[in-house]
Amino acid sequence: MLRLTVNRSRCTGCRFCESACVVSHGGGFALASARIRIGQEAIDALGFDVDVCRQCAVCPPLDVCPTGALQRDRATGVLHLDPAQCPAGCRLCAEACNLDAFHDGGDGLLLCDLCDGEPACVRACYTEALFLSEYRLGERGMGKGFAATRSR
Amino acid sequence: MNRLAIVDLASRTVETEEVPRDLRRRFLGGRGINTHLLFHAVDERTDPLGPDNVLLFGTGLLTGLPWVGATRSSFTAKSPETGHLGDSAGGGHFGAEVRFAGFDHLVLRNRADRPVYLFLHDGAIEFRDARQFEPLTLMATQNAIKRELGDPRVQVAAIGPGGRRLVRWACVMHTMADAWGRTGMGAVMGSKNVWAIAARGTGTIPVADPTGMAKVTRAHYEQVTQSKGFLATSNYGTLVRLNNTRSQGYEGGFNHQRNMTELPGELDADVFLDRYEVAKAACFNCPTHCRHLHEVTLRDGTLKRGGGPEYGGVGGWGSQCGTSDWRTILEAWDYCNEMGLDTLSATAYTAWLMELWEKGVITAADTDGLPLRWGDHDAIMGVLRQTVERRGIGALIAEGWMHAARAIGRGAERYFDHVKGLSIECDDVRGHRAQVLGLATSTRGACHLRSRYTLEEFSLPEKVTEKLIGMPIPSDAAAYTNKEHACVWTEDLCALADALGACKFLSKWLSTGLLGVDEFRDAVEVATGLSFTTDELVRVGDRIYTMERLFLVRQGMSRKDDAVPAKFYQPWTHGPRAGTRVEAAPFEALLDRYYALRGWDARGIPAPETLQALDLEKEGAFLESRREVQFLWNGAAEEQGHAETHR
Repeated sequence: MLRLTVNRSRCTGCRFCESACVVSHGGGFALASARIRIGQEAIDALGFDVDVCRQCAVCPPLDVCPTGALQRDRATGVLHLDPAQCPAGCRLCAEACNLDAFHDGGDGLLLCDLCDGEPACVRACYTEALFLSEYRLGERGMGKGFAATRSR
Repeated sequence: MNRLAIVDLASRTVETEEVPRDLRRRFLGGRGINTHLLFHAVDERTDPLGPDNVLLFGTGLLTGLPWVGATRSSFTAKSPETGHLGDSAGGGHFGAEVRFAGFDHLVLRNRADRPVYLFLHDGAIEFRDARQFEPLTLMATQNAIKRELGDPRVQVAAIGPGGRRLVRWACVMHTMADAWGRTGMGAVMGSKNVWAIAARGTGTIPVADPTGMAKVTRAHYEQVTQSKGFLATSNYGTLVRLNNTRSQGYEGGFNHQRNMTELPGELDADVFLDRYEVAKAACFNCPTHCRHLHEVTLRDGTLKRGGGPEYGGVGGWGSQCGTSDWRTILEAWDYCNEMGLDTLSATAYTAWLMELWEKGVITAADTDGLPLRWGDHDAIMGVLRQTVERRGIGALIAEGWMHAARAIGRGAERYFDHVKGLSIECDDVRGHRAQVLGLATSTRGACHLRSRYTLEEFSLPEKVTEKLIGMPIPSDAAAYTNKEHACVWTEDLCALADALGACKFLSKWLSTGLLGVDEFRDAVEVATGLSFTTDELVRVGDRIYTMERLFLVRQGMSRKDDAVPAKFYQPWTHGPRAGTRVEAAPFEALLDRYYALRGWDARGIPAPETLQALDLEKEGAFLESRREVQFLWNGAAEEQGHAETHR
């Protein structure tokens, strides 16, 4: 399985990844609809906060999603948030995520979908602060949320 | 989107209107539209620090878009430092965020009754109290605003104590290292009682052809990152110039009395990277990351983190003020940033005062007892502190060098090297003829960012320049032939870059492999649907430059003001090109050819047919009454220009 990995010390804060993300997902150019976000609490801080889904091997939001809008693809391991299945907008996933990976953007929450394995942000990152790495996904990683409850 | 907000600070009202498409076609945005607005909003009598001056902010036409280096924005007003055109471009993330917040251009009118900051968010402008920032530095103010608004993604452009106390060469800053530095825009902001502008937005910027935009961006990204210039700037930033100027003998030394110094070679870009750099930082959508963050242990033992430094500051306090001590330079740099002082003016003023001290023009009686010996740490820091505290010699230079020179008397103004009232940078370009010409003709006074033909330093073969500029430019920097073409080409390119929000470090201003007008044209077309031919786009640059020239002519300026400092007519004394100087006759002939190429008359005033061709007849109408009484007016203008610049 592949996941997005961040080397914070290499990030220069240019946010070209945000732009590339918006462009690759189509529509008008609203940077607020980027699924990766670069921030800085204070202007004199060293390094930037990179808020994006890392495809954690154990994903707490997957356990708490009450509607099944958040699912994990068994073949690729990629987490997908389907806005159509998320009528409530309860934000339980955003609260459960340790990495602030769920972003408000227009109509609902947005989550990185890894661009079918070839992320636009990785391509845009000149300093290679963003790259893909391999990880092992166990059964626990498939979550014990809505899908698991339903199959019981 | 595409909105212009007119903010009346006195009545706290905001009117918004659409930026007309025909204005976009004529001036694009950023510096272009700002110049247009300024020309019509003020006149030759407007007091730069009075409520009648306007402070304009403009994002470039491409700023905030998913394009390489779509970052720059401009502050424009009548300058309190020079008394004429004030304009300064800056990078970072502020311009982009202003666009996401729903605004392209801001016009700040009148004066707020107490200190405020403006918060731009999702199409609204909020007035918020700023008095609590009184004790804070510029950096701390930005952080306090981010905290107060509770959103780390808020971007802030602020002034520091320098701007709040109306130091006439105060700047506006954003983050640790992005400044709208020159011509005192911070003082204008301070005079309006606006201490900061904060922006945060979630809006959409319309893109005419999203697929085309993605394709063009990818192509330009490849072009930029594969060019030679890119490698130098992304590693060293502007510091790369330190090594070049020293080895080739045109680092200005001791207030331009020397073209080479024998100071130890500490001030080297590699030394900085090894000892002080802790991270690199980039502007919005730019792969170059030319900015550094540094950490330095100051003389008193405190560890200090700062943003920068840039070449102009290092050379300015270094060879120009006679020190090679990085700690002194970084302390001075950080102090200027925290107080919101323009580092280029700060270095020029300090070097000037040190020469006055050397020549005995000023003494301890003028400086509150502070000796101003070359290279002295306490002298360098003392001048800056006195300026912010407005005491000693600082009380004089805070009002600008012209005021200080008048107050000092004894011929002090002869030692200040400037063009149109704005100090020249530390490097000594008298041996580069296109650059000398650009210095003389630059519309905001001496400036490397709107008229410097940088490529002159690379001895490019004529075949290359002929393809690039349409005229073979001699590879010999000291030649005068055809240099007017190089100068006009640069000026138009820079005007376009500033109007589009493009960074000159990613353009052919810096290196032939980078982006030029053809690339600008492609990006404009896919982004906005406005289609231009390359020639038409160059004409827009020409129009912006001529419009700025009209502003200067209205202020009473003409050929007499297109002059370089007297020191440039003296020969270089050291280095491989010792003996080189500006010769009056070929330089004046070069100026004549430049005017002819621009379509200006021999006095440097745009001719009627030029104004007609550039669609600037309305703006040039004031010339008619003046042309008729040409001789009378010339005398009067000299007097008026004198009064204006020496106010």
